[in-house]
Amino acid sequence: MKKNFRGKLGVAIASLGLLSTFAVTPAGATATLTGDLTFASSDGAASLNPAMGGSSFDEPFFNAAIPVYMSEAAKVSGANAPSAISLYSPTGSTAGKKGVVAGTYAVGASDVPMGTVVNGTNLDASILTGANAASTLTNYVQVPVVLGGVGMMYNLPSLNSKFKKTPVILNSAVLAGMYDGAITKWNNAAICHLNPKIVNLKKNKKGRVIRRTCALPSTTVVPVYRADGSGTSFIFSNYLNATQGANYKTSAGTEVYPNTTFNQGQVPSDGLGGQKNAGVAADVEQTVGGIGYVEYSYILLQHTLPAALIVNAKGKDVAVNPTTVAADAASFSASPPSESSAGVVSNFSIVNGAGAGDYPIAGYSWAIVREDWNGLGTVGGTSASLNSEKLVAKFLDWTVQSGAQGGQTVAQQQGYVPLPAYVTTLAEHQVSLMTYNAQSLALS
Amino acid sequence: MKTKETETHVAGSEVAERIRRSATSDRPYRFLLRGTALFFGAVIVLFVWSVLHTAWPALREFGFHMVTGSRWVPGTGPYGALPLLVDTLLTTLIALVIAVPVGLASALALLFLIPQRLRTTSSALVELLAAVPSVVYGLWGLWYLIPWLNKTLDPFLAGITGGAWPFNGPQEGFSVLLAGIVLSIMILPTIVAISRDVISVVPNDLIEGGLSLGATRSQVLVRVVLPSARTGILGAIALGAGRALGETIAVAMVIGSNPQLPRSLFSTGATLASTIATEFGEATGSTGSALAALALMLMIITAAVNAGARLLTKRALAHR
Amino acid sequence: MTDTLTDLPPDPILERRAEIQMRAAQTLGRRTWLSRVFLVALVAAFVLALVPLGSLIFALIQRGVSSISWPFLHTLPTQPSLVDQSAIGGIGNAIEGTVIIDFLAGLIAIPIAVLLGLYLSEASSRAANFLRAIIEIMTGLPSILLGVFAYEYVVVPMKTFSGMAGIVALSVLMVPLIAKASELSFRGVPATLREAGLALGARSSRVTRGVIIPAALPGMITGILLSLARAMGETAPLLLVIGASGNWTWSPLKQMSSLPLLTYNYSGSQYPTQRAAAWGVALTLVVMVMILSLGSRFVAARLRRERR
Repeated sequence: MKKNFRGKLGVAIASLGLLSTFAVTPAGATATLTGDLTFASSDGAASLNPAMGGSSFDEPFFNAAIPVYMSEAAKVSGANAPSAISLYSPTGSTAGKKGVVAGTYAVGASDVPMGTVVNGTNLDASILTGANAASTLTNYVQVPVVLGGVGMMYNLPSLNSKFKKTPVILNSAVLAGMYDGAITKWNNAAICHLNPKIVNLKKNKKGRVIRRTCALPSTTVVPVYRADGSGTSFIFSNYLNATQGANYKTSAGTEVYPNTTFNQGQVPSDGLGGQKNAGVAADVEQTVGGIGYVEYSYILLQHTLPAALIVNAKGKDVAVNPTTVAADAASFSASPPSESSAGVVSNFSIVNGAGAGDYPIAGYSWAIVREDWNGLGTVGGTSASLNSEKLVAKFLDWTVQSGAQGGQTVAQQQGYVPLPAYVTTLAEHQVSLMTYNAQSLALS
Repeated sequence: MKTKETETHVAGSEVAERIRRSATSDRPYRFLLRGTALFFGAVIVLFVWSVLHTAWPALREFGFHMVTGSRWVPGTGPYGALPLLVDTLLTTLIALVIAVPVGLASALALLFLIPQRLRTTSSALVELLAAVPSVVYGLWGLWYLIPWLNKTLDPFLAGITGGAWPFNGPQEGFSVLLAGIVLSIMILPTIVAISRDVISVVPNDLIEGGLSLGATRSQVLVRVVLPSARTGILGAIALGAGRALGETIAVAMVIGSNPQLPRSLFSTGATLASTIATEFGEATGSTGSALAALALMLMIITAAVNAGARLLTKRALAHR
Repeated sequence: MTDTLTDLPPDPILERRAEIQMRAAQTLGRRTWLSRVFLVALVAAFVLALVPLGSLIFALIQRGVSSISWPFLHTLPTQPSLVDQSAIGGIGNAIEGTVIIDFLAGLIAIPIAVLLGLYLSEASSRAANFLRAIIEIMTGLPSILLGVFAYEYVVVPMKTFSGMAGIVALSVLMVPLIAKASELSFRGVPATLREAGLALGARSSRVTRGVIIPAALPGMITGILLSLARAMGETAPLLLVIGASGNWTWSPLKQMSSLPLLTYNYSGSQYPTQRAAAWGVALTLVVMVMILSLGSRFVAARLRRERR
């Protein structure tokens, strides 16, 4: 009963956060598309089943959005509406990109845009090999679909009773130290220094405090990382890279494995590798002293474990929630993400925003599709046709819409943050770039 | 081609001739059987080829370093599989250390001590363990054994050595030790069933001879029964080891997916099979090939162990 | 004469025997006691072996039964959300996928494996012996290797994850198991039966159909059902190749859902409701596997009884 109540409370808090998000960024002001849900029988959408998969960061979103999309479309188009779209496979960001290039996925989702170059190396060089059309970045359209914060979830039961309302505060230096093995105990001086409120007070007979000692336990820090290739790892690494500089920069091609990012590729020896976001959350839950990075909704759901407050660029300690993540995204509105003519997405990184209320570890997730399906044969298990491409384009367009029936409403029910208006504009623009046999799909 | 029967039955010449003729005149039937054998042979070749072929680029590029290197970094390399090999062998060893004594004791108990009417039920129960899918063992290990290790077993073991090797380091539940324990439970039915079979063919004369010389029952079991069944028991152990070496999902769920050389039994780790399972979906470029090289190593190791096991059990059961 | 007899040195063998007898008598009490302790330890070890089984079954039933209901078994899964965490839906399509994949894999594997078993039971050429050895080794190969194989030869050319790839992997897994079991049961058919058939002038294909297969049927069916049970619980190869599906998929050319994979995915879910449901999925799977493996015992026993 208690758990249930707390769950509802969490949702209430999340919704409150979302309301304020809307206040900051009124949605859809410059929208070019409206998330059209009408299907004619000539669209043949009812039986189409394009496979989607990739980033596990997106799994709760896509798996909630797909059925909602089908039922919303059915309200408008009746029997002509798509009704057979399969669930999303949370195989991981790299698998998402690999899948869309190989044609196994119609939509591949990744937390890192495809073709991103880090320190002079194209992270997807091994996926985009060869001179064929499938390996040419310009043949893809990349659409930002969700925005989410990455929370640092930790498991210190000894703090539960006395310091329940005082989450541990961490900064990027401490996080880097935990993951590269420099910080091995939770009562490390650097952590204690950041947490002046987590102290045991020794009082004299008059009730005056005569000594404060750090109340953090001497438990060993168990850094939990993603054992599989992961975009969430990229966001976290990207944050450390942005804040900690050269020591933590991603070296060639190592975007997706956090251990290669730290200390020149040494896994923290007491570290623990989890499968996908859910596996990391489960590992932290099972491990006293564990800390792990997971998408915000995973923290919201993990009623028993808190997320650390993170010291942001302005020196404020900020909790991960929709408001602070939205604030972080808003800090980057002056330099919105954009796709170059070569297909490279730039300015997508939104870590370490400059605002006082910004939660610094956040990122977008991207849906990647082939730009023109003509002559592709099979895409994501369905035959490539104008109809199947149109269905995917309409679906993607719908996912970025914020209205009452739009995909972003589903996203917020799953603990994501609705896309800020300037990103929705980009997303709609990207979808409108899709063509079939060089003809525009003429979406409305 | 000679049939088994004509070989063993050379006597009645006329009948044999008749049989031979009718056997050879039945061309389509022979053809079908040989065709099937050829077909499946081709599938096996294709199977081995697929692994070899995929692994080749990595083997050519990284060579022997793949076996001796101790850093495994998916995505970019280096692809040193030594930690994975060590963890594979270590988890199997732990499994054997637990399962062999318990399994042998159970086999002896089943054959000589359990009352007749409980015997069928008891063996059925042990075989039930074999039928449980490995993902269910993983689920159970994840949500039942980990809390137990965290609360009870790990502190207890660390207490024995005073926190010294091999029970040093943080107690995370997820560990090489846990993987070994889960594996021991999974291979127990194999060891019990096979060693029960090979022990049951130990000639009764030997047992009675021992008893009649005044040896106690335990002396007969330890000094007569076990030694005379030792080939078969070794075979049973090897079969169990073969299963433990290649077990994938249950291990992947409890070992902690950390491809590093273990520093203690509490260390997290990763085995050959679990690494393939966890990294295959995300593998790009050279990683896919390196994973296929892991598959090749796994294939060679398990094939060798299984071949040895078959040889030993066959020799032991030939007494019958 | 008598002098020489008494002059003889004492017989070392007799002396040794006396010594042994004395030792045996002296130590009898201790040895009996030790023996008793040892035997008790053996039984204790056996009981210990049953403890994990008990715990596992207890966990499965305790946690599994509560999440199983009729709607759970026949409806499609849904994605829970923060608004409605309990909306996990059912596992109907995972049961369907499991049954279809297992059934079709069996359909491919059984004829090949039975013919292969026949071949192995009749042939004794060097090639046949080699094939027999390879097939025996294959029964112990890790199933994940077959996932790699099916990925290379089905997923990559078909450009999609599919139930078919899982079917291919599982059928290659099953062939050696069934071939082995059928070879043994074919060999178990008395040679006299076959010779009687041949002596009546029947072709060997006729003898196989009319005499050997019926006689070997109980063993074969046991082997087939046990292999189906083993394949049904396999997760590792499916993890690499079948993808995921939230719909009823009747075509194996599409991505499918299956119980073992669902157990794996739910086991570490962020939604406590899905995590609890993992036990329901696992219990369903175990029940289905048990039906097959207990069924094999039952069918075999039944057929043997009818034979008599």
